[in-house]
Amino acid sequence: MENERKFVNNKKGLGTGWIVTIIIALLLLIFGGGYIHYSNSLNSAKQDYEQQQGDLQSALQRRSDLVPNLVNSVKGSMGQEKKVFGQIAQARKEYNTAAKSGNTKDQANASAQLSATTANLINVINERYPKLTSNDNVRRLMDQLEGSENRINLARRKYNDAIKIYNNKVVRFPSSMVANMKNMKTKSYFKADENAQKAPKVDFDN
Amino acid sequence: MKRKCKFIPLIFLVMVCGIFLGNNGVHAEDPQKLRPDPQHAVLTDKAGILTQKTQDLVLKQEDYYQSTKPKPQVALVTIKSSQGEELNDYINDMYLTKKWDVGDAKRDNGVLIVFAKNNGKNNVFISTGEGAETYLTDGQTSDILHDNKTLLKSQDQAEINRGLQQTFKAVVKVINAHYKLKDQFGSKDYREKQDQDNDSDDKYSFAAVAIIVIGFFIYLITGSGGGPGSGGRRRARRRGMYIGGFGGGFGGGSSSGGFGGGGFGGGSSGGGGSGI
Repeated sequence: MENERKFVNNKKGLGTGWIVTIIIALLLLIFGGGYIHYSNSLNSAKQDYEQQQGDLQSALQRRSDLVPNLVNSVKGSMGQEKKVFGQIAQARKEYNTAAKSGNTKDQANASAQLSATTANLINVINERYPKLTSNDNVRRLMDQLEGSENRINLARRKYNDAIKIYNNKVVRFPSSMVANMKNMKTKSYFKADENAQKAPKVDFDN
Repeated sequence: MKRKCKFIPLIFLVMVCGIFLGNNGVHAEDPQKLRPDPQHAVLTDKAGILTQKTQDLVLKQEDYYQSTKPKPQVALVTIKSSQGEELNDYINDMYLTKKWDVGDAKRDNGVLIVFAKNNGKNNVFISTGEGAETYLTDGQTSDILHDNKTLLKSQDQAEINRGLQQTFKAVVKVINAHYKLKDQFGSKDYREKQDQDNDSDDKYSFAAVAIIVIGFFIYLITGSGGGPGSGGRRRARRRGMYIGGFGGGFGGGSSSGGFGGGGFGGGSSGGGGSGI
């Protein structure tokens, strides 16, 4: 009998101790595990968009490098289109400045402007210089530029998709708590302003 | 236990509906819904214009490529319309669904040739994977399309087919030169193998629907009868039906995934290539 009671008492004493330990351990597990889990998922979302960002940057750079090739090969035959070439030169300059600044918005705007001006040049060639269009070299360069444009489009969409996933994790509970602790903030989409997307006007009459 | 039972007919219904809806979705030409042909991912003829010769060319090449180490892939897709989009944008939409990962996953050596009728405009685009674009450059795809422009822009179906064959062969030539592959147009025993695959595939999806329907009826019959003491047997039967149901589900899945004909290797594209 006495032995039994002792055993029960003993068990009780040990019990509360155990319960506290278990609760602390559980809390640690839940919060620690939760932190690690959300921290990892935020980090991998960040890695994802950074990778897409790299792809987008190289697609943008590729176009910026291709543009002068086309300009140089057609400029000689298009003496009177100074305005078109001036616009492209200006857009390239702005793009280079924006690329160096690293500001997403500026870059998106400059990229849209360069895209509009080169599309303009291709239009002018197609409409007014049939001789140039039938030139294999010029056709290849124009197709390369259009391919570049398409790469940028695809890369931009993939980048924005990755940003969306990342931003959602940053703002949504409970991962938003971890993001706050790690000082991770939402990133802006690669999206140009409406104005920047407008192509400069070309007057086909003069 | 009883509450669970109530959901079983519902599960069957959902499965049956899923299969029919899935099949309907395959026919749509929306770039988000367009899926590779379940029997052969590399050949999806939605416009219904390809001759047997063109189809054989693509399938034999795929058969051969899958036996090589780098496993390049060249897929041919025809559609009636690119839904008012530029063809390159349409293809980007296709890529973003992740259902068109042509080429080997490590080498990204896939090439997608897409032909869109677009009311006689006959737009063609050669889209290259991130690996393929290093040896099949935009300039080269532009040349290939330009060389075959008259055939591809023709309104005569036979000429379009010839144009697509020549385009396909020109792409294959560049890939073979890059990987130093000799055999140009595939192994000889290919046709028979393909026929067998087609047969078994059809039977499989038909059997899947049949199993579900029969399973459902068995459930209805057994569910209403059965006295006390037969619980064990009933449970056993029900378990059997679960298995039947799952088997059916997988069969349905194969019609949209494409196991038999071999799917895509998981390669990705950066949007390279050119079109006319």
